[in-house]
Amino acid sequence: MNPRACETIEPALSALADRELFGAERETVVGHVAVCETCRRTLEDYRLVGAALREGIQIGSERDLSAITWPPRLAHAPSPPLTRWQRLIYDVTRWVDPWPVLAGAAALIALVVGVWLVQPAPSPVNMVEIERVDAEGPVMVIPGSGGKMTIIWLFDADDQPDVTPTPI
Amino acid sequence: MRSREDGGEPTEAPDDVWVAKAQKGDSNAFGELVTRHRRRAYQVALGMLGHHDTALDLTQEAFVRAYQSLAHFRGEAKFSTWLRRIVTNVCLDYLRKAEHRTPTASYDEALGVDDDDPDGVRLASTLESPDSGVWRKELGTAIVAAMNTLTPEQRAALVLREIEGLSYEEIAKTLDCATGTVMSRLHYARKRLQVLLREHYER
Ligand SMILES: [Zn+2]
Repeated sequence: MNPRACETIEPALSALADRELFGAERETVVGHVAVCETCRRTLEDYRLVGAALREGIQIGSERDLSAITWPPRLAHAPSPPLTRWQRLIYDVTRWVDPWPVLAGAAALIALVVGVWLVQPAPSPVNMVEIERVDAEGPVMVIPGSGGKMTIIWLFDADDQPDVTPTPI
Repeated sequence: MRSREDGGEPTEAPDDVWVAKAQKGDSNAFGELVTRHRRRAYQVALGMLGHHDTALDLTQEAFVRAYQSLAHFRGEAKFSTWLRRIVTNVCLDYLRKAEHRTPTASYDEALGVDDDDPDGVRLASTLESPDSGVWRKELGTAIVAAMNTLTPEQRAALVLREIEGLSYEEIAKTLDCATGTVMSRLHYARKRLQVLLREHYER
């Protein structure tokens, strides 16, 4: 077959295979294919490639797709493409249940705040020492009459300020 | 209540009933649509991306976008047609962005290929089901590697034709282009696959 003829026919072969060629153009291409072994082979190749692609997708899509769900595991999935780090964060948040992680974070914060709270209170300056006592909390506030208030501030004995207390 | 999975005629209410409910804010109704259509949607994504995890993510992403624009769905087309368009666009966006990043590395990364796995063997294994003795792995590997050399638009046209069985007119509508463009994209896509896969078809 004249290779020039194949060159002009070839762009239409794909459409012929898809039954998307009509009228006179179809007649011409069909007429050529009837007598051209090369173009028939091309059509057969197209058919085989299509069949293999369909088969691959069919088999590939038989896997478990329950991860595609509603509502989605992540309300606003980040728009791809993702950087490696975004990918990692996205995967972790998708597949890891967030509640234990959040609970862990809350516990850590509570611990840090707790440690900060139970630290001995800073020693006041210019204080007047009345009496030394043992107590649980660092500060005691005792409301008095007429809007007056007695505040007892406790601190560790070995955390004395430089200023020497003035005993009464 | 058992929900049907994708394709075929629904055993219960048709799609538009669920769409109407979902449009009124019924999230469970949209969940029913997701269950029904996720396999078909995933097939399109897998065909375009060649990678299971990415296809899974982008199918989910497409459903998120569908839900967000559900108010604009007027029921002139079938829900499945409308959804297919969204899935295709989500995958196209992804592939185009991947293309614009550093050529080889990003393309491989986007498709989940290791640097030391330039032939896309892992991609092919995603096309291969764990329990499949039928699928010819070597051919699968070659097909996915060959698909990776196509432009995003060529891939989309080929998948919509071969997997979804759409007419050129339907493909043109899905991809917002002329039918002549569809014809030439398919021609170049098949030509390329034919050349790259020739040795796998011994006759
Ligand atoms: Zn010929």
